[in-house]
Amino acid sequence: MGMGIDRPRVIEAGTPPQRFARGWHCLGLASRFRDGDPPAPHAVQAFGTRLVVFPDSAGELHVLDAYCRHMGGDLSMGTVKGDQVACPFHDWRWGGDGRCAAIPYARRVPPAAKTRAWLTLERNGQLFVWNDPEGNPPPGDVTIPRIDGAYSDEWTRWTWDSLLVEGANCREVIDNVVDMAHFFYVHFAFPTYFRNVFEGHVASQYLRTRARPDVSGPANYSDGSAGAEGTLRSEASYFGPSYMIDNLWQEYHGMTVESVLINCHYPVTPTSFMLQWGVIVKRPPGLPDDQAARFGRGFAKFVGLGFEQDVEIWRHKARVDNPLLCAEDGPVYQLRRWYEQFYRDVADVEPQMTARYEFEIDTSRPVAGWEEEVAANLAARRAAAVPPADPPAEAG
Amino acid sequence: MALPAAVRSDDRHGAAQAVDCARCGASVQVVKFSPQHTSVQWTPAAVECCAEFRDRAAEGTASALVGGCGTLRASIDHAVTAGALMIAPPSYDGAAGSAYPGDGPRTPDSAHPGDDPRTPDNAHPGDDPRTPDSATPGGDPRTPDSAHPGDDPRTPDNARS
Repeated sequence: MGMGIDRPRVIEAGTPPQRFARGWHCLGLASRFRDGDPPAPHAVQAFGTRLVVFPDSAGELHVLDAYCRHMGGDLSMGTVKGDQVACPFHDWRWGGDGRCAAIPYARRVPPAAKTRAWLTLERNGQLFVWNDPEGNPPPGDVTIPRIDGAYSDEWTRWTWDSLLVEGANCREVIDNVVDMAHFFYVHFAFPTYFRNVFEGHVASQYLRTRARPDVSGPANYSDGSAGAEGTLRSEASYFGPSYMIDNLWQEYHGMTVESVLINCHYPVTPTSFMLQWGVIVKRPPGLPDDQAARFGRGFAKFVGLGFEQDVEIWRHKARVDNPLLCAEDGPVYQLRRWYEQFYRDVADVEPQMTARYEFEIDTSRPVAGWEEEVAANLAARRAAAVPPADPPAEAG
Repeated sequence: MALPAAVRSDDRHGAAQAVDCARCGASVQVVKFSPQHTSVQWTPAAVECCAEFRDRAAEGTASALVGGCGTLRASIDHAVTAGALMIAPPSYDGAAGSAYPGDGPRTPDSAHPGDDPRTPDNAHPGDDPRTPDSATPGGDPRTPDSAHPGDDPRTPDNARS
């Protein structure tokens, strides 16, 4: 008896899955793949291979495996010719349907000249590809929702940033959905409300934070303007394994600013992924256009700094399949149960992976503890920076 | 053969107890570690039954995008007030361990907060948490799986509602 108490907890690291999640994956802003005059093919390193993205003559984007099935040339180094991408090696012409349409020096195209064409979707100004190791198209109810603000002149244009994360499986960024406490320690926000709902292919996080007055650093998740007593309300949902739409309402100069943050990624290898984020902001009445855009850029920058702090953690942390949780932690195991559905054949998805599950954290103890910490930090800062006899310096 | 790591069960075990919604009768499994904490495991049948979700669906909002049901929340609060729903901090008792429908059944007496986390072998008892007989090994008498036969989570037709 008592042995169990004394035995050290053992981390079970497991191994990252070798397959890539079934689902829609955002590759970035669609406009990026249409730039250039004439338009040029673009390379995307994803799903353990290399993809080529190119527009046809009507401007519609297509995605193929980048390596030419003839002699392995890299199509992304080629050129767009009409509706096809031409290989730089021998000029084989590949259409958006994956078929070789022509070989300029050949009498006929071999019947087997077909490469992998990825199912694409353009929505919200972004380009998506469908990944399914089983090769099936998505079910009708599995799609990327339309974001009205992305189609409205009342909203700013997307900011867009990306960060290649190496040495970590993308499950690390998924875990953030349930990780309330890291918002305080890594993102310097002060969570006051935290709730998760998982159902079907959707995983949601309902979050409220306030700014931390003891942190004047730039990476303050609660308030892009930094410093103010800003509060933030966030309703964020992953639609499938990799695309999160985060609806945000923030206090900014006495008004509530509504914005949408996209947090998405695509896997590059089993142990690396491309993290991407973008922001649009609804221009509140009374806030000039340029100020709304500046708010959006500022917020995107702060989100990016937050992600850099996440990445710094991920680079050095261990993979943990058996996290040890306290009562005030979120439902990590249930989130991973939900996430597992994307790594199995559809026939092997178990009902409990998609059944609705709700978890609301009791924030009373965390808030009390963090209030004490913030107060202590403020007191220490005052003691260090301000001579007691000089109260006006408080304003600095 | 153990299940893949990704479907391990939460080792913060709580006594999952059934709560029926006062409005529509939807039956869910609830765990409360404290007055504010609430964990609710729904079944597809309960989601389909929920009157608030149906109202929201009629307005075009899928239940997955609804934060919760207000009437159910009131029913849960009422169950607490009435003493029908126990509030207890999680147990780390390795003997319990069903990931579904609740967070793993346990009896109030089996709470040994400092106790050893499970060993790999008993982490997934029987490998099939859905087997009614094995789901509540010596479990809480207030959560008999057979009490809600209509809530069988295995109903495949409702699985992806």
